[in-house]
This record gives sequence, structure tokens and C-alpha cells, in this order.
Amino acid sequence: MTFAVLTILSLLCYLASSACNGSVLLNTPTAAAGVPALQPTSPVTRFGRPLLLLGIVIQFFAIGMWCISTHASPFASETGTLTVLAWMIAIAMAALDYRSRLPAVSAVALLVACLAICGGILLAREPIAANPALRSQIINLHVFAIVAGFGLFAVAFGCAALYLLQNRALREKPAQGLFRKLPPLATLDTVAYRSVMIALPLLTLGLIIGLEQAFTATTAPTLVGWFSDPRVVLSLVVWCNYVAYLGARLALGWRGVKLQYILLIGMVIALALYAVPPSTHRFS
Amino acid sequence: MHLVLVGLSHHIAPIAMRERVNCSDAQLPHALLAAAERPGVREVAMLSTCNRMEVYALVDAPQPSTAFDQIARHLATHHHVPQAELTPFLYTRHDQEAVLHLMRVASGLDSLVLGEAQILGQVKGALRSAQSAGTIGSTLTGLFQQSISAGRRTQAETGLGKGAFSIGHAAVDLAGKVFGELSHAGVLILGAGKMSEVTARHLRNSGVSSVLVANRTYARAEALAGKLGGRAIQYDAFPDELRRADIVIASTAAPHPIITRATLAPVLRKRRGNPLILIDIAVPRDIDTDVMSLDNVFLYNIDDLQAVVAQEAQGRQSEVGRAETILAEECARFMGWYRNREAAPVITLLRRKLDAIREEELTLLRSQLDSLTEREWQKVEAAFRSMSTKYAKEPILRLKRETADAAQHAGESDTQTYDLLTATREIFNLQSDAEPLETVPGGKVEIPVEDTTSPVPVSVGRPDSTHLRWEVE
Repeated sequence: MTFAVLTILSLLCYLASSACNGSVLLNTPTAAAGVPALQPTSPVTRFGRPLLLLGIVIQFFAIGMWCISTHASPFASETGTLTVLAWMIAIAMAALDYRSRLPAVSAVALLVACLAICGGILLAREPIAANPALRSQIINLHVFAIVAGFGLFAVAFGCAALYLLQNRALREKPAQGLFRKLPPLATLDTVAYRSVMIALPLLTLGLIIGLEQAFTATTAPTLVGWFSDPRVVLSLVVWCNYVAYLGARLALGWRGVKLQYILLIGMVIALALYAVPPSTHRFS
Repeated sequence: MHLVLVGLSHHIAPIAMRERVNCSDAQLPHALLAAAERPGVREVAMLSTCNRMEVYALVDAPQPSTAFDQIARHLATHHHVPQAELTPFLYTRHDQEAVLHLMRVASGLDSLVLGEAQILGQVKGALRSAQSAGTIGSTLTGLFQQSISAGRRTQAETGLGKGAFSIGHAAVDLAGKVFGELSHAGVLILGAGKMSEVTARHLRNSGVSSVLVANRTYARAEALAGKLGGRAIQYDAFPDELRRADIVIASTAAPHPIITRATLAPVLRKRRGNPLILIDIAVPRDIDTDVMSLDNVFLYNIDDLQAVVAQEAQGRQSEVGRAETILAEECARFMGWYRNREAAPVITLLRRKLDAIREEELTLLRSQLDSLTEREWQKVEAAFRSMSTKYAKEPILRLKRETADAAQHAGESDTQTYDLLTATREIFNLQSDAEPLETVPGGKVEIPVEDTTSPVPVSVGRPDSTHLRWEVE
């Protein structure tokens, strides 16, 4: 019960923070004369960051309450996993926003976090998995690393989506002023890159732990069984996609629109991964 | 005394008339001294820009219209313009309206390009000129300082001074929205014309790292590169430089496009998706519009940039209300200080007058009643002093109250306070020249930053250091 109340409170905080940050898209910002246009701000935008931090703190206690009341890992249920995913997105966004003020990106990323929480609430009646594997810290680390990585990929996705929107605004209708309301292309590109730079090692760690467990587990399905699981396969495809992104950017020096499409594709595959039913990768 | 403004501006005076009454920096001291010699002019300052010529004066005139005649005559004679020709273009404001007008001017609200900040520097220049010429006292110094402060506030607290004021600004804005910081961006200029120079200068001031100039006449490219702190290249070499440049400004006189999709596509492959901004300010255009079909290319022509400028101007228009609110506050603050200064000399003179009458009567009485003891005389003197204080009390309190009320209701009519001050002077026959003009050459007047809604205390005699402090630089 307490978990539900705290989760709803955090959801409200994230929604309010998203709305405050999103208010920059409604006002008419201008740039200082002779200075490149910076991020637009409005009086309401100032509340975005405190609300986000409040939501993170509340959700921390919500997850703690969940663990105490169920005596299980949050990853033992879809609700807990999605809650942690939302929490990771919020933390990633708070860290990135602290470095370079990004209200528009925060607004989008927090909406994704809210969707994750709502998904968790809808699945709240699902049973909690009693699989003993979920009591293993290494399995929890596996899931946590993947969930945190996906949280950051969600932020990168938000940046890529805004990049394409800004790119379109700048190419087609500069006089309409939409370009003022969104961050510069270079900022969006950099934030997406930083997110992937942190997320990919996390995903790699998660996958390595998963593979190690798949190879060593005695009661688990065979190795062939594991690799015929669409969820496992898609996880590897997601990993390859983001490796391709970093390779194109770092090794080939790519920039611009094509890189953003790689990020969008990555998130689509990640969502597909969540949607497909697992054949072997289940704990309930 | 009245604060009077007489002037003409771009709103009503054509450039032909503005040129005739314009004062260069060299001519300004002479014009100021000539104006200061006009009868009744106690302080004078002039704001002379390409868009306006305004004379601000503190005058000893019963009616502001008298001062208008004096200053209009001065402008006509000093600039050798027949007064009949000049007068239709002149406007006048007095007291609070004059104060508010200067504040609006300093804030850019009265400018040709709404919100432009250059005028603030020109107002500062006008203050310096008047201080150097010695024609300005504490009142106009305070007025100009308060107006400069008001201008700064509106620029800082509203969006009035922000946004693109020219196509150069618009180019910087758009480049900033692609690259964020421009410190790593390189600019390639094609054509060494005035327009490319102006646009490139804006970008240079925004911190672009390098500037290359290509022109068919190499010498002109070198000259422009020298001005911008860049490097000239041969015109034929520019396609190679497209690979490295981030921003291209094209303004050549070529009759056909010099950059097309065919020339740009191979370059873009080598750029690996790095964005390229093409600013085409040439007519006829230098860059074919088909380049827009290429990814990561942003093409802006002169119409696009002007549309951004127009949109920014619209945005600034919406800030006018907020700016006016700030100016009303600043105006009220100044008027409170100014009226306080207006009332103080009158109260001083009134007290002196009553003291003089008391002393006169006591002297007369002493010669007639020489039998009184010293103790009895002390009682008589005390009674006289008490009587004169009681006589003075009501008018002084009334003057103070009216001054405070006027400060509180600075936006409303100020006729009553002025009538009361004048009436007090006339009824008690107070000499207006009893108080010498306080001048602060090169100095600074501090106007209290206090709540203007509270009653303004009236200082008597020397200016109260808590309300008026002069700093001589």
C-alpha cells in the first residue's frame, strides 16, 4: 500500500516536472543580442529540477518499501522492474540536466519514465516471481545493469527525437521560432552520445553476466535454448545497434541525422524486446 | 522650477530635419554652453543621435511653455534653422512626462528598432558631455543616472533587449541553434562585400574560431580578412574549404549560383554528417536551393533571416508592458527624490523667514521693555519661538504631506504639489534664488532605492546623506 502511494506520488512529481520543463515549448524565448541562442527558460521551468529530485527521492523510498514488504528483489515483478527503469531514467536525466540545462529533453524523458511507472501500476496484480535465482545478487546486478542501460537509452532516444525535430525546424521554418524552444543540435547530439557512452557499458555488463549465468547454470535451458529466445536475441541486437552508433561516431567520425536514426532504431528494438514473449528467459 | 524636454525624433522629423539640428561630439559642448546661457535655464543636457535631438533642462520658469519657447529658439538659432520650419517637428514634455520619456528612450522603447541597446550608451554619452561642459547639476545628473539604471533594468529583466536585431544577429542565432557554442566553428566568406562583412563580424564577435575570405579580387579578400582577423584564400580554392567550414556566408556578385547540389554532395560525403550552415545574402542568390535536399545542410537566404528578425521584433513587442511597469517604478522613485528636493528649499526659506520676523520683533520689544529681567526675557523669547513654530507647523506639514503623496501617486497629476510650492513662495514672499544650484561636475547622485510607496521624508537644509549622496569621481 505504502509502495503504491509513494509510487503515485513520484509519478505526480515526474509529471509536474515534465510539465514545468515542457513549458519552455509554450513561451517565446529569445536569445541575447549577439550571443547564440541558449536554452529558453520561463518562471515555471525553475520548478522542474526540484520536482524531479523530489520524485527521485520518493521513488527511492517506494522501491525500498517494496523490497521490505515483499522480501523480494524489485526485479521479481514487472511492476518493480518498470519502477526501477523509471527511476533510472529520472536519475540519468537529473545528472544530464545538472551538467547542461535541458528542460525540453527532461520533459520528454520524464514522460517516458511516467509511462514506465503507469505500466508498472497496470501490472501491479501480476504475481511476484518466487524463483530462487532472483535472490541471487549476481542476477539482480544483471537485471539492474540492463534496466539502467535501457533508462539511459531512453534519454538518448529523447535527444535523438528532439534532434530530428530541431533539424526539421531549422531547415524548414526558422522564422516560426520553434527552433528557439529546443536545444541546439550540438547539445542534443552530445547528450545522446554521453547517455550511450554510459549505457552501453552497463548493457554490456548485464549481458556478460547473463551469458555467464546461461553457460554455468545447471537447471537452466540449454545454450541453444537460450539463444533461440527472441528476448535474448533482441538484447544482443540492441547491443550491436549501440555499438554501431559509437563506432560510427568515434571511429568513422559520423555526425548528424543518420546517427539519430540509429538511436531511434535502438529504442524501437528495445521496446520490441520487451513486447516479445520470452521462451526461456522467465523467472516466474 | 520645471524639468523640461524639447526635442525631435524619427517619429515625426524626417532625416533632412534631423541632420540639420544634429550635434557631433565636437559641437556638443558649445551647444550646451549656449543653451545654458538662456534665461532661466539652470541645468541642461542634450541627447543627440542619428534618430533624435533632445534637450533636457531644469528651468526657472513659471510655466513649462515659456521654457519650450526658450529652448526652441535656442535650437533654431544655434543650428541656423528658421524657427517656423523647426517648430512643427518639435515635441515637449515637462516634469514627470519628461522623466518617463528619457527612461523610455534609455530602455530602447522609443527607438526605431524596439529594444536596441545602443541608445543606452548614447544616453551615458549625453550625461558625460553635459558633465564635461559643466551645464548639468544634481537634478539632471540624477535624472540621467536613474534613466540609465532603468534602461539596464529593462534590458536585464525583460526580453526587450534580446533577440535578433539585424540579419547578422539572426545568422548568429541560427548558427547557435545548430552548433551551440560557436567557439569551434569556422566561417568561410564568399565575396568581400559590406553585407558579408557585417554578418561575419557578428559571428566573429560571437567567438567563431576561424574566418576565411574568398573573393574574385584577392586584394579585397585580404583587406576584409585583415579587418576580421581572418585569412584570405584564392577564390578558386573555396570548394576545398567547404569541407572544413561550418558556416558559409555567400555574398558575391555572381549572376548564377556558385554552390549547387552537384558541387556540395561530394563535399558532404567527406564531412561525414557534420552540419553545414549556408547563409546566402546575395541577390541574385549564390546558392542553389536544391542543396536543401541534402542532409545536414541548413540554407538561409536574406528573406529567411529577415523573417527571423521580424519574428524577434514581434516577441520584443510583447515585453513592452513589463518594461513599462519597470519604468513606472523607476520614474516614481526619481519623482519622489526630485519632489523632495523641490520642497526642501521652500521649507528652509519659510523657516528662515519666520525666524527673521521673530528676531526682528524681539529686538524691537527689547528696546521698549528694558525693565524685564533675563529670566523674563527667556520666557518671552520662548513664547515667540513657540508661536513662530506653530505658525510654520501647518504649512510645513502640508508641504511634506503633499510631497509624500505626490511621490506615492507619481503616475497622477502633479499640479497640486507644484501649485502649493509656488503658492507658499508667493504668499510668504520667499526668494527663489536664495538656494544656490547644487552642481556635481563629473559626480554621481544617488537616488535612494527605497519603497516609493512609503511617504518620502523631506530633508531641510543640506541634503540628507541617507537620501542624497554625491560622489565625485
